[in-house]
Amino acid sequence: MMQVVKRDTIALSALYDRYSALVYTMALKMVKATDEAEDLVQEVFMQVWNKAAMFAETKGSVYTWIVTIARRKAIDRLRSSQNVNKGVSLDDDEMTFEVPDAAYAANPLHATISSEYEELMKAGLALLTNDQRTILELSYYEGFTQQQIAEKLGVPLGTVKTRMRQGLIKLRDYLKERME
Amino acid sequence: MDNEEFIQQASAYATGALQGEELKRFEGYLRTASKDELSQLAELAGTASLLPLALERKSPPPRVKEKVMQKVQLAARAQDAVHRRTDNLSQNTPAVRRNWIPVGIVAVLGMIALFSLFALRLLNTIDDQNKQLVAVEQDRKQLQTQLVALKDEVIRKEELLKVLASRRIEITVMDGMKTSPVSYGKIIWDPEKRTAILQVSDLPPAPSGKDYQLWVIKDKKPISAGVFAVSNTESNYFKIENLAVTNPKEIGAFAVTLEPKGGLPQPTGEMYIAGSPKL
Repeated sequence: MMQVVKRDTIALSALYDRYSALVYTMALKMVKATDEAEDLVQEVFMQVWNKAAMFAETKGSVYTWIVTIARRKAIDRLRSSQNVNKGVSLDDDEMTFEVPDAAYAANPLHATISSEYEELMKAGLALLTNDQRTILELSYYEGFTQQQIAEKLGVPLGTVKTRMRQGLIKLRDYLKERME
Repeated sequence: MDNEEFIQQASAYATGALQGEELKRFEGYLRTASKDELSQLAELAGTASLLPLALERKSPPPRVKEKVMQKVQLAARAQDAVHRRTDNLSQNTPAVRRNWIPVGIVAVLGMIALFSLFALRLLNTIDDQNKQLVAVEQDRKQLQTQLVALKDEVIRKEELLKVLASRRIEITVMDGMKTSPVSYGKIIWDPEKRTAILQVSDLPPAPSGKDYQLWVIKDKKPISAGVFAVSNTESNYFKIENLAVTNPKEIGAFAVTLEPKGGLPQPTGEMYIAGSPKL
């Protein structure tokens, strides 16, 4: 990543090879159209190139940074096309709070991309109930608020909040147990 | 906010389910959150960010990378060009300045030289004009002097003419004495009006502190008729008023002596010219 900061195009090429499939998969999952997913991949890596100097390694891994960019861009695109929460952009504006370095440094879950983590995540998600998994996916991939999820699923808001909390904590605990 | 509520909010925050006012409120709370709360938030956010790892991976078509790399290389080239231009500018700027410095100096020196030439010419013109003014002033003074002399001459001539126009005039010729044999003079006088014109020629200029004095000899006694000075040997005319005698027969002679400046009651100096009336 430091080579990308130094405007090394070969380093960006390597970064692309490592993360493009993840970004493309996310994009397809979220926008559901290959052409838009391809556009998103281009946008994400152009932003990585243009804003590499803003990347703070101490506040997370390259993986987390790229996934965050990809998710925000995809959510923006979704909201634009579906007129959902139109006018509210996640890109650069939303989630402006920065978790302190110490909190990230102590977090064992900021891992790099690897087949081991992939298998762990699949196994962890398999432990969740369908409702918990659906709520997490609607929130993370679709950009829905808890209220929107409640309306979509026809369940009380409190239920959505509880299932979201329980599902994420179960996943966290599973991963912590396997990673530490 | 108790821990259960915090975890609930943090879970929604980590998955991106908080928006708008809810998001602002929670982020406001995070600014004063405890270290433990922040650690919990980091773990939940980290967990959520790993969700995509569970997706069945699909690679984008190769053309996507080609487009990305083309754009990146274009951006890199454009950025390099900007850097090069900036560097060139920063490097060239002093050179440009250096190149302009001699030009500027020459221009300034040229302006100074032009100004000096102009100033010199102006000073010369002023000096010439001052000299001309002095010359004009001298001419004016000379002309004034000549004018005064001419006026005096005219006055004397008028006086002479008046004397000559008198019904009765007497003329006495005076010849040079031993002191100045070449000198001579005349006195033309009107006994009735007791005025006279004295004309002297070839009298030496009176020395400093001396004046010529005209005497009327009556009953063998000299009577002062006035003093005069000459500055050259040419003919000079002087008007005499209140002549001491009215009867020519009473006059034994006219004489001119050189006396101390202002004259004396009695002659003490040498006689230059003298003559007796011819009755």
